[in-house]
Amino acid sequence: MKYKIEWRETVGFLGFFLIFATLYFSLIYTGPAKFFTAPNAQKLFFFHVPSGLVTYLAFLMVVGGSAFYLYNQSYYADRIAKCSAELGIVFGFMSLASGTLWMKAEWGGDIFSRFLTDMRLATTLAMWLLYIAYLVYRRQPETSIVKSNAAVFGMSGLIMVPLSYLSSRFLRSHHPVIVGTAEQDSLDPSLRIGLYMGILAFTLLYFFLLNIRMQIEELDKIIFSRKMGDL
Amino acid sequence: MRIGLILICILFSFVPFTAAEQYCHDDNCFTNLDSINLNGEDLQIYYNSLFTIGENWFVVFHIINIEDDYNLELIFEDGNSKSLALPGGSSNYTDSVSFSGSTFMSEKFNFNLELRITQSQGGEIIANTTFKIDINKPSDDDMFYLWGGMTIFWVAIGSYTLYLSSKFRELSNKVERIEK
Repeated sequence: MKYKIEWRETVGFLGFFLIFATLYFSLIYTGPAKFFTAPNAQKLFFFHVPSGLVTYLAFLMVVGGSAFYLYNQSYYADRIAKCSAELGIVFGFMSLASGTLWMKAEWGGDIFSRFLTDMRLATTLAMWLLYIAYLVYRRQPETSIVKSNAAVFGMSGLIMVPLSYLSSRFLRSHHPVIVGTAEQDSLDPSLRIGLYMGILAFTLLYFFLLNIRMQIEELDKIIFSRKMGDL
Repeated sequence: MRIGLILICILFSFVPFTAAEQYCHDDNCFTNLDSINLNGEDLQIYYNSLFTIGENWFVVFHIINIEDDYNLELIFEDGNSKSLALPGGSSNYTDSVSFSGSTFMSEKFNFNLELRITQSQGGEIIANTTFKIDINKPSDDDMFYLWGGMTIFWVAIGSYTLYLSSKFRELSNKVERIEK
C-alpha cells in the first residue's frame, strides 16, 4: 500500500526546522530578557505561547469536526475531531507544564493555589482535563451512538476555548494579555519575530502530526474491516 | 490513552515540587521593628530590610489602641507607593501592606522607603519616617526553570512523534501482511 507523503514530509521538515530556528533565536540570538524578574526563564515565552495557541487551534478543530459530524455524519470529520483532541492534549501539556515552570520563576509563590485562583490557569487546566475525558470516552467501540455522544462532548470546546482565552481579560487573572492590547504594538521587534516563528513552527508541526495520526486511524479502520470480513 | 495518563501523571507530579509556601506574617519573621508615636500610642512597624526580587515583601503594622482614623502611605524612592487606612476606635489592630516580587527589576542599596501618616480628615501629615532597605537580585536560579521547560517541549514532541511513527509502521506492516 502506497501513501502520498511528500507534502507531509515537507511540512514536518519545515516545522522542525523552524523550531530549531526559534530555539537558536530565543537562546542565542537574543540575550537575557529585560524587565523580567526571571530573564532566562522568559525564553520559554517563544514556545509556551505558540503551544498554547496550537492547543486552542486543536480543540477548535475538535469543535469543527464534531459539528460537521453532527450535521452529516461524516467519517472524515469525526476522525479529525478524535485525532485533533489527542494533539490538543499533547500541546496543552506542553503549554501548561512550561507555563507552570515559567510562572514559578517569574512570579514565585505557591503554584498550586495560583491554579485554583487565577482564572486563566484554572480554565485552561479544566479545558485540558475535559478533552482527556473526551478521549477516555472514545476508547470504547465506535458505534454511531458513541460517535454522536462524543461529538456533543467535543462541542463543549465552543465554550471552553473562548472561556480560557478570554479569562485573562475579563476574569481575575495575573496572566498577561498581549493580543489586541496596547502592549501588542509595544512588543519588542525581536520578541515578535521569535514569537511568529514559534507560532508558524508549532502550527506546521500540528498539521504534520495530525496527518500521521489520521493515517493511523485509517490503517486501523482497514485492519478492522478486513478482520470483520474474514469472520 | 496511555499517553494521556502519562501526561496527567507528569503534570500532577509538579504538585509536590511546587511546595505550598505561605508568607509569614508573624513578628519573628521580620528582621526590623520600628515604632511611631500616634497620640500616645505606639504604632509598631515590622519589615525586612532586605527586599528579594521575585518574592513578595510585606510591612506589618500593629497598634494597641487607636482613636482617630489615619492613612498610612508607603512611598519608595522611585515613586512606587501603597496606602493603608487605619480605622479609628480599633483595639489591638494589625494590618499589612504588600509589594509584589516584581516591583523591582535590579539591585539597589540603601533604598529609601518613606512612611507618611496622615489624618483621614484634612490630610494633615501627623508623622513620617524613612527606612533604608536593600533590594537584592537572586542568582540565576531561573536557568533551572528554563531547562526544565525546554525539556518538557523536547520530551513531549519527541516521544509523541516516536509513538506515532512506530504505531504507523506497525499498522502499515499489518496491512501489508493482510493484503498478501
